Amino acid sequence: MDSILRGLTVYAFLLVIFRIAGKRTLSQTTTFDLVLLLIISETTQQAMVHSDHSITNGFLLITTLVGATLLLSVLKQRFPKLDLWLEGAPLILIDKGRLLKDRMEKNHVDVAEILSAARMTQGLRRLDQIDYAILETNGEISIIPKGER
Amino acid sequence: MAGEIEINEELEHQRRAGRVRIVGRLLMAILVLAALFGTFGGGALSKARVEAAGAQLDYERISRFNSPSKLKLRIPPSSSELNLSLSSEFLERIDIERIDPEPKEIELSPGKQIWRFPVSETNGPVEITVQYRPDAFGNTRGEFDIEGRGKLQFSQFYFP
Repeated sequence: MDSILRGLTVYAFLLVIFRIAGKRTLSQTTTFDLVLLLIISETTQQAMVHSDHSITNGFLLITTLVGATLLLSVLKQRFPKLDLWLEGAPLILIDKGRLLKDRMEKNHVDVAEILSAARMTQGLRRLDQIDYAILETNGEISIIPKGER
Repeated sequence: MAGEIEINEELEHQRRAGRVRIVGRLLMAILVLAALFGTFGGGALSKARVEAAGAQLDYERISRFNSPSKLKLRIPPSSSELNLSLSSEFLERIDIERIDPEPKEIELSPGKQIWRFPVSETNGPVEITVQYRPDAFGNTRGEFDIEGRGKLQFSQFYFP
């Protein structure tokens, strides 16, 4: 009982904190992001497991966490508003070659990051080759090059 | 839809979510600042002291479940043996890790435990430290009775 409540509380807290932090948090895998992710997982594990290292407790926690994810996906499907609050929506950052700077600022995305995504996903060299750049709900930037329909 | 690309941006929601995010970030900053000052234990705001019959107890007003905490007592002894009783109500809500110095004897009594310490000199206060970890959430009250001379009463709050 105790470990299930712990698991659900930590799950809900992580859900809220990462929504507050924004789409871009931990979406890239820089060395520091990876280290931060490891620290967060270690801290989370200690808060959830406490001093009960039994297999039963481990099974209970895993079942609780996977169950919560399944339940949330069902709820998100049934209530689109909830889906919107939990997952967010994609946002256009470059619209027909035009930089939407206020959107970029609000979401902490700079031109260098868009260019990096353009190089890595499309092999593009310059900003003027980009038709659309979209900040996806998972924090990734997708690029649509000019000339594609 | 925006321009030639099929995408549902939900701009009104994005604006609202942006405001919520700002409030959330502000709350995060307040939380960290409050924690630095000891709102969740281990800081200036959580430290407290009570005095009675010349004795003194330093304790933490706020602590957290299963995190190490201390009670520091300074008591002027009146004879060669110091008898200190502690309420069972408090003892039930904590796990004692160490009493320094160890009592020579612990006597069980309804609603309390009596700890006996031998004392070699009675011309100054003696110090006793109790190291423990809270084993419950919420409010807790405790009481040290110093040989019937006075009572050191304290209350604590344990965060989950």
